[in-house]
Amino acid sequence: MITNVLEYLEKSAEKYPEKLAFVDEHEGYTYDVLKNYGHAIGTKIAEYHMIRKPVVVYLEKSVRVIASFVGILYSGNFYCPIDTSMPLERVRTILTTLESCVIITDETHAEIISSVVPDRDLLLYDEIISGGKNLELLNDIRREITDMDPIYVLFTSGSTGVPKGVVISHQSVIEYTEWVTETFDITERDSFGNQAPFYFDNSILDIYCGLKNSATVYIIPQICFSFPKKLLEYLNEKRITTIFFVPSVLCLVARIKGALSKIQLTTVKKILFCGEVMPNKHLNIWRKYMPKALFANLYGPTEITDVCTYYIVDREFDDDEPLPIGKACRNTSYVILNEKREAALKGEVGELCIKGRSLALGYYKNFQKSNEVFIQNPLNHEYRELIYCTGDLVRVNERGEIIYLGRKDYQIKHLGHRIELGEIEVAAGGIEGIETCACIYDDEKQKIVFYYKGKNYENVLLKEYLKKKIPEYMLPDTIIEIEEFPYNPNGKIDKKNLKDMYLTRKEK
Amino acid sequence: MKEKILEVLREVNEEILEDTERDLLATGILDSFDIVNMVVELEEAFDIVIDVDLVTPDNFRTADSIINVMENIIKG
Repeated sequence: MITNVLEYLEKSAEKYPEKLAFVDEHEGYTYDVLKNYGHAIGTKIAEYHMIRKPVVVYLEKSVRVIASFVGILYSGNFYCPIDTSMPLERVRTILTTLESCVIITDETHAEIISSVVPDRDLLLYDEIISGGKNLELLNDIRREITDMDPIYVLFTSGSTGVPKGVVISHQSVIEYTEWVTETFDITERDSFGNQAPFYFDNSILDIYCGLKNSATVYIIPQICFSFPKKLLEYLNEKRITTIFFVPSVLCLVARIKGALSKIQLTTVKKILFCGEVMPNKHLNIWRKYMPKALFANLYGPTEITDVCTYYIVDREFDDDEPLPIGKACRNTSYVILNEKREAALKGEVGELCIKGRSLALGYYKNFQKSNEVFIQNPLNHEYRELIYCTGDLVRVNERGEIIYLGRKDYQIKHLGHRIELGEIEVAAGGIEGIETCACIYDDEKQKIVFYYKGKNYENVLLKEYLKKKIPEYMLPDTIIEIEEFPYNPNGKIDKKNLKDMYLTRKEK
Repeated sequence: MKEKILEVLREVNEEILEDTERDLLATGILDSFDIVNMVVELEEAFDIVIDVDLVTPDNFRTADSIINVMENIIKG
């Protein structure tokens, strides 16, 4: 039985020591190199005599970040990657919460990070990988760690503005990795094209499925995400078989004429996506040019280790239909709770609540917030059973698939009707020329405000189209074309910010 | 026509116009989505198709190079 993710690395390093494990624009690490650097980094951190503490990694996205993660785990601690382009005020807030005394960085970033938190010890990557190893010490440390101990802490934006650190354990990552491997038939012949930043938990799939299956993970150069042709050529050149992208990136490719028809993807077989709603309008373009590929819509918040439900696309969808988020992953289950915290009836809308080994250990140093969303299952009066309340509203369709409707926070009551703003967005998203859209609700004036980006429409015409898909009472009262949506660091539309924009706009 | 192109670019990202010879890719002015957004906006504004082969770093490196590409497409 696997109890520590390092076992994945060690098995692969034994079997395929010379095989490339991770590759970036500048260099590639074999399994053997990755393990050795991990030993050196782990031995160095062990000098601090700390265990189960967060260690920050402040480096550009690269294979070096992965080696740092491995080293931190060898030292018995857990890692926290920080985006080097994050505003420094936010970095300060996070590091103040973490209180970690050790930060792994390099000469390029040492000055910046020490200006933010001058009192921490900086370990320079180039120096620590060449240090000595003490395998006996690392073995002793390993014996103290269980699979209930943290492996990483990732910060997500909090609705109040203070980021929340989600703490995930080894067992959750192991459970997830085993599930992905089995469900998508991942083997050592696969290679991953990694898009997700390492501070975003979509990367967990790439990293740990790679390590477990002795596959190679290629960190795709950033420039590829500006030029679809480069991206597609890169995937072919590296013979990538599996990609797990955020939907926006797939949309990016679909929007450029001739991209998928002229540059046939010759090796990509599995296309997975997660992180936001995937519009069928763009997915249909991918499906047209890649009829044999497997497409899967994955769903899940950071608090349940990346993914808890999935849908393997198995039938045709119209451009304006929503794509189901499907069924729960193996060994994960869910309850849907209505407003009274009772089990939702068949087809009734309610909040999706998850149970199983994937649940986070909570928010770092924030028991109050943890207790609000990781709660005793209100349907279980017999024994302790934790569920995570996602805040996402769903219903189950007649096929038994979960359909995502929107955030609980965005459910509104308008003229006596209960409305999911997400439903309006899905409807509008299918209209030709609408690239991105979002709805907010002006509680005071009781107005549905619809923002969109794309082709310029007459408001009347837009409403005509919408009327075909949603009831009259759901039609937006105000329609505003926007040049650029505000996004949060994970690349999702920042609705809070959008609403603030709207309210200040009104004041003017 | 140049003015109209610049107008479309401005809509995507205002900073582009400050210096039409500046390397947009090196300076971090554009984010990943800006290039594709620009392409789609230009296609709509001029009712043309910008083929994937033309969406390259060289063609989209500066505002001037974008204007150049657009003129070539429109002239046919």
